[in-house]
Amino acid sequence: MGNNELIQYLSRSGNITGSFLVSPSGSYLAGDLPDFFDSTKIPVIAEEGYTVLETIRTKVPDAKEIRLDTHLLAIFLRDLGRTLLVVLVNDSAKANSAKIAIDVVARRYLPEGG
Amino acid sequence: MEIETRLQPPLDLTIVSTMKPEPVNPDAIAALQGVKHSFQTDRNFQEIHCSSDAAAELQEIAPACLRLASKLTANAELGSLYRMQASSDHDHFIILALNPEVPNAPGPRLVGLHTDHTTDIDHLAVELTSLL
Repeated sequence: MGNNELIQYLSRSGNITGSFLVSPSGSYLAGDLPDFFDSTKIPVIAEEGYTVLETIRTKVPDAKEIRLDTHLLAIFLRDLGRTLLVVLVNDSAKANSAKIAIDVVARRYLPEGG
Repeated sequence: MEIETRLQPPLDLTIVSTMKPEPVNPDAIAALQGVKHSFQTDRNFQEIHCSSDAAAELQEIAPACLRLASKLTANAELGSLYRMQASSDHDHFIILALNPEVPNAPGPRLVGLHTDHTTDIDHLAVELTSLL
């Protein structure tokens, strides 16, 4: 599964508000972004997302995903090895369904099984 | 008097609380499905309860994790953080902010849970809130 194929799969899931893939250096690779989202924030999200992951891995070494809940969104940050997948869900009731879709694309994206 | 409680953003984590909250019943938390370890702190990350050495390890990184995650959501204009969760193939590590909705109440509390990976965290959060 390639970058664009992954994003298209998530867009079709119906439970996901927007998603994008970003490299560790903050380069945008592919995405389907909602109107409210400011794409200039992508490098910041990548940098700070990896920083949060690294901090967590000091105690939970095999952590591969972070979910952040705010009063606006559920935000998933999934480490796919060479990329970081960011998924936005604007209805927390749909977050579990979104999580299932993320697991599916992660397994297809990573040969070793996500 | 009925006290309404719900999950809320942790507000400004730099604000100094003058009242240290009482711990939510640790035995009741331990009895929640999937919970292996837990800790509770006040908003300044001062310990209220810690269930084990493993919980203490996670409590150690909670301030940095919450501050970094709060910074991310604020900088990206994605809202105010009230809960974060890290997952591996085997475990969840979750930090929740629990705020009593009463004037001059102590808190908010921060509750950290280490659970097995099959735990439904949304359901767990509702159950945890009901313990307040």
